[in-house]
Amino acid sequence: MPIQDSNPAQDSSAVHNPVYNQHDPLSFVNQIRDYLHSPPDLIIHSLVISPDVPCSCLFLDTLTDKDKIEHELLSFLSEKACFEDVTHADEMISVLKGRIPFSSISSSDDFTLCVNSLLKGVCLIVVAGAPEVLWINVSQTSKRSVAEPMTESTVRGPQVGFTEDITVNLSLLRKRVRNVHLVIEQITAGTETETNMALIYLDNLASGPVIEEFRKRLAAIHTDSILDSAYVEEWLRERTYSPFSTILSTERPDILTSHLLEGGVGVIVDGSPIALVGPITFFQFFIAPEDYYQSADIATLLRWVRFLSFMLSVFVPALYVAVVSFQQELLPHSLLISIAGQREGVPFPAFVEAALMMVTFEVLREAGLRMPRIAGQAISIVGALVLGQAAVTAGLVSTAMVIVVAITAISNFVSPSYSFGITQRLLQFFYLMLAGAMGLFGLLCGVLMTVVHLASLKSFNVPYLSPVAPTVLSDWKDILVRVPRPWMDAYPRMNGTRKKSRKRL
Amino acid sequence: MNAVFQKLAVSGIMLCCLTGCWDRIEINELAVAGLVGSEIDPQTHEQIVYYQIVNPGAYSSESNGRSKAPVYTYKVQGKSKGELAQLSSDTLPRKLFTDHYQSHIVTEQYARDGLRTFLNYYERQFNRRSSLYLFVTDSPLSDVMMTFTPLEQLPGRLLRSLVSNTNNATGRISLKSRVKDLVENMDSTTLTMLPIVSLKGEKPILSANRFDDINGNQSNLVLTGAAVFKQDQMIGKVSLWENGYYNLLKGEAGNFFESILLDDRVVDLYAHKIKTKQQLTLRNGAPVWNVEITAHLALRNDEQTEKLTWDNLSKITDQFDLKLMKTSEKLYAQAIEKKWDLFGLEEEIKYKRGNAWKKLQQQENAWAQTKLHVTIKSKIENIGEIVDPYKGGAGNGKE
Amino acid sequence: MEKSKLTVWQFFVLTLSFLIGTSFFFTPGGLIAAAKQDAWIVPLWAGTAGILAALVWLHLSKLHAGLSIVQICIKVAGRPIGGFFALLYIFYFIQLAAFITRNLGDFMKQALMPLTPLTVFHVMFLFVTGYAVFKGIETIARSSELLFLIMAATFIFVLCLALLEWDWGRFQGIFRMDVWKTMKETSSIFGFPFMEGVIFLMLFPFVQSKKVKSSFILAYAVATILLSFSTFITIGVLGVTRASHDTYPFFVIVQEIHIGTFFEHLESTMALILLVAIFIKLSIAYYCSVLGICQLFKIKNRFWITIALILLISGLAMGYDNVVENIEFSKKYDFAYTILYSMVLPCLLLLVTWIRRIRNKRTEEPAS
Repeated sequence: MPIQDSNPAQDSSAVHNPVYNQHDPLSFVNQIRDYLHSPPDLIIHSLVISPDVPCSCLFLDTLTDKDKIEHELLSFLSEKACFEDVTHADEMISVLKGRIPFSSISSSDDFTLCVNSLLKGVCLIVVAGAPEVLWINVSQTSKRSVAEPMTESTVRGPQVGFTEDITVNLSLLRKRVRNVHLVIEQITAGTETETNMALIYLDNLASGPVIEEFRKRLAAIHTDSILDSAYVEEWLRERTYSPFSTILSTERPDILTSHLLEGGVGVIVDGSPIALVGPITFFQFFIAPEDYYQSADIATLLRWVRFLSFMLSVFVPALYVAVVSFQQELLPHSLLISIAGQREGVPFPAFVEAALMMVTFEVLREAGLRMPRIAGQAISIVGALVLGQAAVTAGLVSTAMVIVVAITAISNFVSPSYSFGITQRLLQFFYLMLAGAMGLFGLLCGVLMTVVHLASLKSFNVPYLSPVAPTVLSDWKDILVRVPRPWMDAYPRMNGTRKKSRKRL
Repeated sequence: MNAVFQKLAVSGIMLCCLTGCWDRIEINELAVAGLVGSEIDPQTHEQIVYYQIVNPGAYSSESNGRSKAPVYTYKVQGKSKGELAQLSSDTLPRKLFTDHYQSHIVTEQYARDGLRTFLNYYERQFNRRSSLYLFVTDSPLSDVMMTFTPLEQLPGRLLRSLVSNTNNATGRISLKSRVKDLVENMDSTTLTMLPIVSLKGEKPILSANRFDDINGNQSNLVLTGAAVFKQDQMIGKVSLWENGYYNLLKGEAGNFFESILLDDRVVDLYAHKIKTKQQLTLRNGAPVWNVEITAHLALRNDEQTEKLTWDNLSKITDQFDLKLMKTSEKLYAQAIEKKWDLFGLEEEIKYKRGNAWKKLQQQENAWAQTKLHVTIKSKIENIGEIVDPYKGGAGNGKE
Repeated sequence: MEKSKLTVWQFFVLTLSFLIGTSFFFTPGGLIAAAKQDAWIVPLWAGTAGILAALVWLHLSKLHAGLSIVQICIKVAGRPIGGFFALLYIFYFIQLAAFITRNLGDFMKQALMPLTPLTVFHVMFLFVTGYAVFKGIETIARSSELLFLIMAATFIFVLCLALLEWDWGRFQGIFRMDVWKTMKETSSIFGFPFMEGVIFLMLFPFVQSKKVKSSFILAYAVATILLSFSTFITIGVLGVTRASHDTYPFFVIVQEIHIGTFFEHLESTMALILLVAIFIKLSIAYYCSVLGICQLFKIKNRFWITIALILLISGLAMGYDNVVENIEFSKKYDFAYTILYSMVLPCLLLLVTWIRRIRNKRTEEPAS
């Protein structure tokens, strides 16, 4: 396990300079206890395994499987018969290593390493007179079991989501890709938290430069703590500031797997149920996992519905404002009259009206997320009444505006990716402001700005707008439409996969 | 550097944006014109324009207690056309919005004086569409502009619907009676026919109370004929029935309606899917305007006592073709007499190539010698629900 | 120097959008006024001339592979004289950008927002374009690729609707023009848009593929056909009489489109197409000016040049007062003005290059 030199805890340990002294195991044990500030969950169990060899067993009972230690390790050690033939403490370590019925077993004489491993759920066995300390990995943390994904649910398809535990997550992946080419590289980052991360890819598919880029960016993480994959995401992103995410975050192992199988590279962070995948392009945010579990024609239709609702959610408020307060000539005559009728007596300009309603909606949504579930009903009643009925009756906003906000809000929820949904909300306000100030011209400038921005983005050297710009026609079959599986015989070319064809030759 | 650029860009754009508000105008600050009428004051020779402004309050969902008049008409008088639109701000409490009014009416007198300046003014405006219908009225303009119309409460839209309905039902008003059609014929000799609208009854109805009155006919706007325009000037009037024929010959009528007499019994026929082919040829040194018409007929009314048979049907179509042919030729002759170049023959001859045409091209009024040759091919497609009419009366029962 | 690459398709899209982008909107009116029903033939010969010119440029750039026109000037004619030529070119690009910007401003002010000052449109649009320019040619190319699709789709959609008004009768009197006279009257079309393609001498080095030649020529051919086609459509839909009187005939066509009585007023789609087209064209001209300055004065960072040019271009764009002056100017001087940059200077450079080659050979021959 690599050790970070800059760890302040270790710096202070250098002052004490405690070294494992094989002749004085007791002081070593005491040092460890002092070093950890004698925590209540540190258990030091002394026992005699062989007539002349006393030993101590150290572990943190909050991080370890106490059952395992008591029933398996300690009962094994206390069976005197096993070690009667061993008299010399020097041999004891190798004998123990060979005989203790645990698979994860090793030894070391480094103090800091010992302390660190103790914090990772290792049980240390200090044998008096032995040159090294024995480690037995019996870690067990409290974790929840594998459950349905919370944010990305599907009707059909696997109902499994990642959990907070990296080993469980990796096992979920391994189960899906039983392949020698699946590479899992372990990386630790965060000087204080020492968080484990796994870089995952298929070495016969993922392109070398992309993997290299991932490694480079992961290695560049200089932070004290990583509590969630979101922390890593910000390090992994392109340097340019952008509301558009160039990394897909997912809590579904099947999505991660499907990206790996198309030459993507994934990162799983211990302690986070959200995995990160890259490279990802703009149009892939319109793909929902369900697309692959439904027939191709329906999936295509739904994909277009998603494109449409993206357009709606981003443009409707801005367009409404632009048309109602700048370019009224664009409205059909009957619609113009009906909107004019509704707006009779509304005191605010359309822009203020729209901003008011949109902000109210955002507040309601935020309140809905934060409040305790039990209060849910109250807020939905208030929300529905305030947003809908009362505001119109009071003559504060026009009915058309309520519909506009409702359409915007509903189409926003269509987005398969939550983070992309938030991006849409940012865009909404950006466009709304431009439209409120400059009408259609402002809106168009905003759109052009967005297009330029999107075109300038790259996700791990894959242009963000591919396969449309640059045009990669063969990739359109899984972006703009979803063709049936048998036709998808080539890997996406934009990812630059090593193999080109899915057919096994 | 990037950050500096972004900050600069954002602040620059924001500053720029603010001036955009000079163009901002809320929809409820607009006076949406639905119908506009113009005339010239015969005494002072000043321009008069009537703006019929839609009252959005009448369309508001919470209009309880508000006025129910769907439109208000404002009259503006001024020296020139450009001035009128500006002067409207003296009377209108809201900004005049002419971007999509539905129809424009001019008086007959105005039309006869020539609409050139009006058309130029109109085409210059960026915010007006030339695809709207232009009407000529022979009633006093103020009455036409100030009457409430039932059912379709916006008179502008009413007129538009009248044109398309008439065109559908009888083809007597061409859909090409828009401002742009008139403008297009400005440089050519082709005549343009614009619908004439009149006020039915003596007096306009000025109060919205009429909407509670069952009599829908009263003081309504109706189409009564067509005005004939040569370039920008109105040169004559034809009845709707005549105009139907002209449209048919011009190929502008998609539908047509005519009654024929067969053994003194009336048969009403509705022709649709009309296709017209026109060609100018020379026959014995004289120009001939060949018009070939094919039509599908529907039997709307048949007062014959006979059962419909193959024979009978062909009799009907023959009679129909004959009548159309005869009437067309008669009407064409009338038009020639009045020096109406309905089909732009003058130009047609001008653009012909070949020696034979050269002679004609040198003659003035050569087009007036043009003969009309109409061939009509029609077939009955739809005979309605009954083949054999109910005969009733004596001698028709079972013997 | 940035190391960017353009694909052949991207280059095709850039060339096509540059040529057709604004001209399909601005030229038909003038052409129809001059050549009546036969106006659609004019772009055909102008395009042919354009292709010939393109061959000259391609040859020039082939002789100096990997160099832009600014670098070619310096290489061929030496730093003082070549630098002067290069400056001329840069000024031409800037002036072109100013022209395009003004086109946008005029249109916006007339059609959509009459009260907002022109400069606001200019500066705002230049900021957006400047952002693209700052991001580099690859970004411009990729944005163009995406926008081109949207533009083409909208254009086809609008076109299909416009064809409802089609009438063959409007072509009465076709094929009766006096070719020489028409050619003289419509000489501006040689300049705008076909000779303006000389700007691509800045961009040839970015295309690695050998197909650059065919894609460039193909874009010229397609642009020619499209321009002729759009003139043809204008005649058939709007008629010669009205088209020759309107400032923006295409806009009028779209204004009058309707589907039933509900879908009317589709001119916003036209504004969309035009704005996007102007964006692509402007970003190319703008980028080439910036790139030219950077190459001439060996400046590494484009940022400040980009910013400074916003001011210069928006200032130059105010150079005349109204559309009439613009139309008159391009009618009278556009041809002569662009021919200087597109034919005279490149031919001169080509000539000098040949002379140098021959001389080099002569000096080399005795040596070997």
